[in-house]
Amino acid sequence: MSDQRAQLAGGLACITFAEPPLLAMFERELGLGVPLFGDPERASYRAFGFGRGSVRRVWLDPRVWRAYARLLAAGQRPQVNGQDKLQLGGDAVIDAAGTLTWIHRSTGPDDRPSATTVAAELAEAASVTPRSGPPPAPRARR
Amino acid sequence: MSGMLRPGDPIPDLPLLAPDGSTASLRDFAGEATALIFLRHLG
Repeated sequence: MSDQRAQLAGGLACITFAEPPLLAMFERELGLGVPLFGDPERASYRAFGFGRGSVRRVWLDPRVWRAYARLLAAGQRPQVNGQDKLQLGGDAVIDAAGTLTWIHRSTGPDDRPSATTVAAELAEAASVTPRSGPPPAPRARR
Repeated sequence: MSGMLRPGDPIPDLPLLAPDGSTASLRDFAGEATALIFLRHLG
């Protein structure tokens, strides 16, 4: 994954609605090397328009079953952690000015753009507003 | 804020939490083109 990240034209971060202790646990277990942030209030989810799916779309849709079957076949196992499984996610790209340039709102758990698509949108955003100066990693504030 | 964000809109100053419990802002990502992956859930 680090090789793929090195080829990206910009930054990458993951946002979830988990509380910090759960974030820390997954950061340790997964070691993704991608900044991970939590938004327990889901204010950013609402702002970007990432809504909640129906039980039918999230749990009963054959597309979801196929996606989970692929994950299980790859050795992944679902974990029970009390999180809202109906919350949907999505993908967004911002440029250096902090302007949203592209967004994909998932319609179900299986509905995600390819990594190639996200990388291409990121490259487009980076080409419009090229980086100047050091990358501004989010600054933690106490 | 009215309605959901659309391409061309500035991202808002909304709080995020780091794994160590410290706070950051969505606006802190400005300065470099960045892909933000909003996960459904962990696990």
